[in-house]
Amino acid sequence: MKVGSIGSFLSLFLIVGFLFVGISRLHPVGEPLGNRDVFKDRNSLVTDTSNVDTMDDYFLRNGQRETGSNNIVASVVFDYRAFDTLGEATVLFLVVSSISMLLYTALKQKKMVLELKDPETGFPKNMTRIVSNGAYLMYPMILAFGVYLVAHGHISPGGGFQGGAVMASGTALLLVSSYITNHIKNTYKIFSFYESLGLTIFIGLGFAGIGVSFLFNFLADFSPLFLGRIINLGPNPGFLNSAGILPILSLAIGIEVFFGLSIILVSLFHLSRKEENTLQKY
Amino acid sequence: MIKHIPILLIAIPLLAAFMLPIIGRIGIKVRDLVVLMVLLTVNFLLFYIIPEVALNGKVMYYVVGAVDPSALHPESLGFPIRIVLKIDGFSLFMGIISAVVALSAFLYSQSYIKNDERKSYYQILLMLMLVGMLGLELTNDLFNFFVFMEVLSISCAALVAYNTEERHPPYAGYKYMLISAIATSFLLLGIGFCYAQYGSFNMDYIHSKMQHNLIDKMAMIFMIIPLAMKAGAIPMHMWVPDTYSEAPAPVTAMLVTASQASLYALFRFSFSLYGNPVSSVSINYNTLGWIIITLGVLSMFIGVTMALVQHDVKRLMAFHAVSQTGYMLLGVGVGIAVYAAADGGSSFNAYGKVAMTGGIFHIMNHAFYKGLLFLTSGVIVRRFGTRNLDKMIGLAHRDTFTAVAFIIGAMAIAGIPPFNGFASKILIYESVYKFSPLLSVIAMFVSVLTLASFVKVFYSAFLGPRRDDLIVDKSPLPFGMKAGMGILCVLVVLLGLFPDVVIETLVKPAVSALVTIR
Amino acid sequence: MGNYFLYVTVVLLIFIGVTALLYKKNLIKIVIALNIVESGLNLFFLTLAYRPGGTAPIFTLAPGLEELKMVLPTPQALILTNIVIGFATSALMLTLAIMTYRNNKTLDIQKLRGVEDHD
Repeated sequence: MKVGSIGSFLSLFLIVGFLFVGISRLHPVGEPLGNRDVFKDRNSLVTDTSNVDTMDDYFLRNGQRETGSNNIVASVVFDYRAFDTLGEATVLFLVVSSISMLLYTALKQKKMVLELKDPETGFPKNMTRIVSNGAYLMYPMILAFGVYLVAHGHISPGGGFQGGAVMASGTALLLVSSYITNHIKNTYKIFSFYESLGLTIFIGLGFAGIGVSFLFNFLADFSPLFLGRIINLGPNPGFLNSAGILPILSLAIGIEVFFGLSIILVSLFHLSRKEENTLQKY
Repeated sequence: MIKHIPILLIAIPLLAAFMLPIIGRIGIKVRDLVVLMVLLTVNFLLFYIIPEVALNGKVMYYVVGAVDPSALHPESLGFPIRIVLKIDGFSLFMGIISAVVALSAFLYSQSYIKNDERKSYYQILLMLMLVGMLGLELTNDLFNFFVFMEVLSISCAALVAYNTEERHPPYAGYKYMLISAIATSFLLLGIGFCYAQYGSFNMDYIHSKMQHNLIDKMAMIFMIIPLAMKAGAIPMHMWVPDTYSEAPAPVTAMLVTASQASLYALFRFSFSLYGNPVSSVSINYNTLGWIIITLGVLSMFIGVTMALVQHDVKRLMAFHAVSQTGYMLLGVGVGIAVYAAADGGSSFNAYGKVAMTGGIFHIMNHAFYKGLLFLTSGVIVRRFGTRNLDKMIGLAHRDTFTAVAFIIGAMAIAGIPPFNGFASKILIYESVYKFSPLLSVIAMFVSVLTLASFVKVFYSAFLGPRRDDLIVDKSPLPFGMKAGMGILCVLVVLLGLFPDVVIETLVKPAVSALVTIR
Repeated sequence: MGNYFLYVTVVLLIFIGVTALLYKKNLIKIVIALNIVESGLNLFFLTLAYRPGGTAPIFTLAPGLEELKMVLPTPQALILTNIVIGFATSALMLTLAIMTYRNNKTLDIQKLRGVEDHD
């Protein structure tokens, strides 16, 4: 697979040469295609297309009014290009299934290791006090921060993916500090159920609007009580009760990412633990 | 409901794949039944829209998430905002190939793969492979194409490494994933260049605004070379033998179709994204055509010569897959080379179109007979417990069904009438002869060598005295494997006996969807 | 040429990544090299979206309507997807590398080269 050195050197040279030629002809940094006065003469109650030259101009000018969310990146990710997000969630589900499938026999052969545990804290005996108490203190705060990011995806920077990743880092903290992989079979069953649930909610919401089209934001102008609040153009302090199906999709993705990443972390960690005969049994 | 078919083709298998872990806990039979129903539904929907899309020439668009799914642009705006799915003749053609091979591979793997707890994951990955292929073929949006290509690559790489306890499959899966990741990274670079120039990801919009300056040509190189790498063309073919031989047999049949999907994307990008038949400031079609022809001829020749010396039955068939890809590249390359010829299109109408028809029809034939050959090789490997041809003898006494299926597949790949390989190869021979007689002679010589190597395999594995001491697995052939091979056998024979039906219905609309004017 | 500094960084990252990909022999180092290439690609898309003096495209507590200038939102969605896909690719490749090591006891691609020509 590593071709002869002449071939690799030539291909490297060609790639870098092409790239340098390319970037010399691209538009300069800071002047992308698009209208500078995209917010001029904006009537905040209708979507219009004046001063709109490209796709991004349309999103900037009309994204807030049409989808009801303050965060235009979230409206691009979950409304205008929601099909790509579905594909991305599929990739994550796919990789979790692949790793579960590939490591199945290896994990089944691994004998459960019961490590020497400190009876009062439940942590392994050679963990210091800082680690054990710190992990117990940090874990709920990490989860809370992650849930905050997921829930506020349509108001501030955040969303399902970011919040889910933060929550999964909490799982990583627990794994590193206290090695809890003893109940791995139950972990798999519960976590994979919730991961499938998250994705099913996503695609179920997509099918819910199938009367109009797939992944249609049918709650955006539906009723102000239920996520359909009308947002005027311009800065506002941010309302949680807005943006149609965006918060629900964000929540579904957050659930899926958290449980999926946790499965990957737990299986890889369980695979790397030492076998039975090298540690003392309890 | 018809207007929702493009999204249903992708969303229904996706929903089934997501719910399969939960359904799998209910019971094995329920899970198998659900997967079978989903695959049959996808096949049915694809065949249902043949009259509308292929025969009437209507193109189905679907805007995902819009108020009106068939309105491409919002009112008073000149370009699409959301993701657009598009079914035209060529997409439908490739979709049918993917769905039919997926159905055969699923039926075959019902009996071939053992029923342990990993089988749910296997079926999830198989369905997600189908979703990736269909998404790649039905989309009109560059970034959506990239996402579905990643779905396809990751599921293929994981399935290649399915036999995790043997020594070689995980490394083969690693290499496949590495090649795919490099290819998709450079593809994304090309997509980024296109986006920087035009501000949109929609293929039709970029095609209408294409300026063919230096950045666009470079973006084309960055997009076409990775696709050729994934399709297994020379000189980036090194991953094909390793990957195809280490994967389980039904997975290899799907991998062939996955490589065809990359070939589809290559043709789609060079025609529908960069094609511009009347303008002369576009890329030099003659040069591009000759480059593709050269790659095709090299693939044919190197593939078949490397296949002749192999002792491993699946590696031999994998080299033949490389060689047959050369036929497709040759046919379409001849079509491109005379596409913008100076004589105002007469030579294109005379033989260029026929060459392209042959090349594209060969995609379908190759998927079917190559899938059939790999499925029979699965039986051979299962029976003898080894892939080495020197250790096999006399299988035809036990497994007459497999022997007949193998004969059908081998004669199809060698281009012998009345099987489907002959139908597409004769189109290629005739038209390429009018273009350049030497190429046609090389193509026929490669056919002869193909026949020689398959005669060798048949002689080694099937003929000879019956030796029961070499047989490892003595159980009779299960129904699922027979059904999977049977579907493909029937299709190979039918396509060979009645090629005109398929050419008029499916291939000619595909060619006219690619070639816009003339 | 100060304007092109970001683009040159992108090309440098891709160059480092591809060089490491071609010349390193350890399976894990190849995965790391692939991650570097992906980072370069993400930086490329980020550069395409940039407007100097622009704020994030979020209307919560944004500056007033008169001096509103925002960076482009679409490449940011792409980068999000690309990061997740890059993570998935790396996770799968690392798992396959682990399994290769378990079966063959080596991670060197030159020692694994003779692996395919068997029997």
